[in-house]
This record gives sequence, C-alpha cells and structure tokens, in this order.
Amino acid sequence: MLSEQELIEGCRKGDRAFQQALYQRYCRKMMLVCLRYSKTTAEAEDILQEAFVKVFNALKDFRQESKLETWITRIMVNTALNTQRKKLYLYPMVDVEKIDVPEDEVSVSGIHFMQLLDMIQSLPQGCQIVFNLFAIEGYNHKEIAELLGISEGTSKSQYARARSLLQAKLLKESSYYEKYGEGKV
Amino acid sequence: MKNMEREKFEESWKKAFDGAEVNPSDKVWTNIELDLEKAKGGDLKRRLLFYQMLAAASVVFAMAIGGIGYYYGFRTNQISGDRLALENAPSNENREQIQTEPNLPHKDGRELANSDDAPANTTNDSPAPEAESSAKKQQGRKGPTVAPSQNDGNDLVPAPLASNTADIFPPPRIDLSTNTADARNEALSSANFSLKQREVSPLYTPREIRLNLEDHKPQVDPVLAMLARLEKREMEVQDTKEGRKEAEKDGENLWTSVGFAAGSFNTMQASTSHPATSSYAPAMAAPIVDQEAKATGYSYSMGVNVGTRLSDRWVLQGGVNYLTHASEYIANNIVMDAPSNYQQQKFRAASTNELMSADAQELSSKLVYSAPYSVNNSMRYLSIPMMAGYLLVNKTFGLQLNAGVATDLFLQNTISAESDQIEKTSQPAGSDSPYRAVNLSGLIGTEISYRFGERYRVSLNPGIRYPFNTIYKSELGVQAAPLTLDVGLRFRYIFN
Repeated sequence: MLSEQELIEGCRKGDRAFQQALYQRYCRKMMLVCLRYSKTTAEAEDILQEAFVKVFNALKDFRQESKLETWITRIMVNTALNTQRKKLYLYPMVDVEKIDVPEDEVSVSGIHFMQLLDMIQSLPQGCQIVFNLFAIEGYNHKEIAELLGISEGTSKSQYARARSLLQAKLLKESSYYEKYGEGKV
Repeated sequence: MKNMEREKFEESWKKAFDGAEVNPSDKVWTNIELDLEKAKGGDLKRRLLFYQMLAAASVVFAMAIGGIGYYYGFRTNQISGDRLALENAPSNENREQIQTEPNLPHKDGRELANSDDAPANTTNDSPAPEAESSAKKQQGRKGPTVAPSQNDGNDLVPAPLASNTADIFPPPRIDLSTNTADARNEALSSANFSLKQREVSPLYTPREIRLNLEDHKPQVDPVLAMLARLEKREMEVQDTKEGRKEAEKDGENLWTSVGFAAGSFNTMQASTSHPATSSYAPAMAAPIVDQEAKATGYSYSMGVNVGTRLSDRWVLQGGVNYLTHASEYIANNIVMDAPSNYQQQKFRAASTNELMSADAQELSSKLVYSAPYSVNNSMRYLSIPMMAGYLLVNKTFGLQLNAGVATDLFLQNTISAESDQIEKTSQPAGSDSPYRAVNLSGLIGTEISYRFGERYRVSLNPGIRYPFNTIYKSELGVQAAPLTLDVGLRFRYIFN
C-alpha cells in the first residue's frame, strides 16, 4: 500500500495511477461529506467530482501542514458550499424568531449513519449547511457567518432550527424503534 | 448544563459519521479523468493563448512606439516649419496682425486657467457624496488611496503644461491704443524680437526613449521550445531531402552534344625555305607553296561530343568532329595535264599537292603561267578532341573553362579554282599528300551555357586551336601551323 507521501508525490507528477489510488483511498469518505451537503446522490457525486479535480490540481500547493484527509475534506466542503451558494441566494436564510426545542435530548446512538444522513438531507437548505458546518465540521458561528456571508445571528438561528428539526426526527425515529425494534435499519 | 448537552449532541452526530463511508458510482472517476484531460488540454490552450496575446501585445507596442516616433517627428518638422516661417521677416502689412496674434493664445491660456465654468472644476469643487464614501471605503479596505483633488479651478492646467504654454506663447504686451508712430514701431520691434526669441527656447527637445526590455524577457516554455526544435530539425531534414532531389535533378553527370563551330585561322610560322622541287621549277613553284602555306581562311567544324563529370567542378569531354580549313590564295600558275586520246586538255589549279607528286621534269612541263586566279584549298580533318573542363558556374547559366588536346587526322584537301576551265582536284592523306596524316593541337576555350530544360543545355563555345606541329610533312621543307579561333554552338542532351 502506498504511503500518503508517495501518493502526494505521484499525484504531483500527474501520474494517473497515483491519482486513481488517492481517489480510491478517500472517495468513500468524501462521498459521505458531499452527501451531507447535498440533497441527492447525483448532486453529491457532482460535488465529489469537481472537488477531486481541484484536489489534483491544487496538490502541488499542498504544504502538508495538515493531514491530507483534512485538507481534502476542506476542499470538499468548500466545493459543496460553492455549489450550494446559488441555492442560498434563491432561498435566503432568515432569522428564526421562535424555535420549539424538545425538552428531552434524543440520542443518535444506535441509529445508522445513513438514516442520520437522510435526516440531514431532509433539512432545509440553510439549516443543512449550517448544521453540517457547526455540528460536524466544527466551525463556530462567526466562521460560518463569514463563510456564507450571513450574520452570526442568522447562523445561530439556522442551527437552532436544524437541531430542533433533527430532534423531532430523532424522537420520531426513537419512538419507532421502541415500538418495532431495530429491524428497520 | 445546557451547553454541555449541546456539545454532547454535536459530538454524537460527529461520532455517528466517524469511519462511515459511501461508495460513489464508477462514473465519478471516469468524469474526473476526463476533467483532468480537459484541464491538461486547456493548459496548453492557455499557453498558446498567452503567446498569441504576447505577439499581439508586441505588435501593438511596436505600433505605439512607431506612432510616438512619428508624432514627435511630425511635431519637430512642424515646429521647424513654424520657426522657418518666423525667421522670414514679416512684411509691414502683416506686422499689425503679428502684433495681435501673441495675445490670443495667451488670453486663451488665461481663460483656461481662470475659468470657473469648466465642468471638471465643478466636480472638483463639489465631489459627489457617493464618490467620497467609496473613497473612504477604499481607504478602509485597501489602505491609502488617492483622494479627489481639492484644488480650485486655477490648477486645472497642470503646472508643466502651464509653463509650456508660457514658453510657447510668451506674453508680449503691446499697447495698441498707443497713437504715436514711434511708440507703435517700438512695440513692433519688441514683438519681432520676442518672436525671434522663440528660436532660443526650443519647443521640443528630443528625448531618447529607452526601453528596458531585458528585465522582462518572456520565459520560453520548454515544451514549446522543444516543439520548435523538433520542427526546425524536421525542416532541416526536409531541406536536405529536397536538396538531394534538387541535386539529382540538376546533376549533369553524362551528356552528349552536337554542334558546329565557325571561325578563322591564321597560319603561324609559315616558311617555305626549302621547296622540295626540281631545280627548274623553284622559281615557279615557290610562290604557290608560299601562298598556300601562308594562306588564311575560315574554319568550320561539326561533330558529336560526349561529356562526363569527374567531380563537382571538373568535367571531361571528348568527341569526334569534322573539321574543315578553307583558305584562299592567288595563283598565277596552272597545272596542265597531258591530254589522252581525243580528250580535251585539262587544267588544274597549282597547289603543293601537284608539286609533291611531280618530279622536276614533269613539273616543269606541267606548270604553266597563267593569269592570276583565286584558288580555294579546303583541308578536311577528323578531329578527336579530349578536353578537361572546370565549371566556374554550374547553374541554369553555366560557365566553364576548357583545355585539352585534339588529334586531327588529315582526311583530304580539295583544290578548286574560280575558273570553270580549271578542274577541282582532291588529294587524300597518304604518301602523295604533302600534309601530315596526324596533327596535334592544343585546345583552349570557354563554354557559356544555358539550361533550358531538365535534359537540355545550349552553349556557346569560343575557343582557340593551337597547332603543336606543322601541317606539312617535314621532308617537304614547308612549315605552316594554322592557329584557329572559332565559336561553336552546341546542343547538349543530358542523360543523367
């Protein structure tokens, strides 16, 4: 198995075999990232394709200050945000005045990640992006606001709404489990 | 407590996706490959576009430089013209007109400088709030920016331009209201002086424009440089091939030619000191031998030659030519043959042939005096020349120097007289002939040729035939060596 350094060097030379090896190593993880930011598989694959082309073109500038996977993930997220930006213009994010948050915190443990992915994809566009950025990528609201060109408050409210919606979905799902067991997954 | 719960919630989501993977379809990689190929092609296109743009920019730059040069040249000429016009003394009628002229531009200059009506001035006085705010924004974002000018209208004309205006149009103040003639004349002379002063202050000083292009040498793309080298090499190979073809096409390695030549000959070293005749005949025979030996005449030849190239410049040519030397001389003797039964008396022109074949008694009985008549002696040879040639020019037009030797085999000579009563006689080579059977001559000549087809060349061959020996047999005691100058015309057929 090729080391990360070997992969990088090979890709920098433009060797197609190395590029393919790098793609094969990270494409599945990155596909999940793209799916989190998109509504459909086709849309996610488009983002994946575009992002990997960027990866191969930008690899010569990769300073290796971070892990390659982290760097590729960042490119995936940025590409996804770029593609979603048009939609954000069409459906601008607004501050949500009142959010009904369930009293009980529902755990995601025991729920398959594909179900969780479905839940995320079912969120409104703005909520989906903000939730991904805040909860999973680990950005704070200030950074999200800068990234998306929105106010910090909007980011917070969008996240709160996303969380509320997800809580509700999780609650619904957990009650289903309680009733029918885990056979659904 | 709530914050901790939130963090727990987020962490649980994060963990839920840790290590999770989803397989994309195979077409993604195919599309990535296609995109990468396109990008590679696009990169090449971009480079090409860059060089195209560079070429276009170079053209524009060269045109701009040319335009500037032309403009300054035009200005210089115009100014020189103005100066010339000013140097010419103005006539009295025009003086007043000239007096008033300097004020006009000056006034215009002042108007420009003092004008408050100019729209630009209005803009400067009251900058638009939007512009101000944008300037502030720019300052905030990009650091220092150039603030709008707060100058008043007087600064509308930039300082250098204003000074130039003053240089070009010095303000001679002439008071036209002056009534006295002296004062007016004084004013006129000062105006004239001020006009002449313009010559002192040059309107234009040529500046040397230097372009520092060394620091901005375009970097040559190695791939394009390699392509250029390959193309150059290909062209060289192509040229070599074409050159070979051309050489093969132009090569004249073996050829044959037919031609004829005409010229004249003069006899060198002619002497008839020992005419081999009987003791009775010398007085009568000597003039005939002498005239024949010293006779000048015409030379004609025709023949076939073959040539081959020995090297790049050297050629060897040989052939067979039929050579005729025709000479005329005046004789006052005829040879009278004894008539046979019932035959008319026959007369033949007197020649060395007759003298050679006759013994002294016979000769004295044969030779009779006659009125002077013209005798034509036509000597025929089979000439076999062998020449080496040096090609000075070997193009469509050719120039060649030839030198060699010719073996001239004597065939026969024919003696004919202009009189109908004198019979023509011929004497072939042999023991009866006074002429040598084999003669040796040196040949020198040039060949100026023109190739008019792939296989044809026509040439003019002026040349000299220099005899190495006398044409008469040595025992005869007569010496004559004809030096021939002729010009030949030959048609050459090139085999390869």
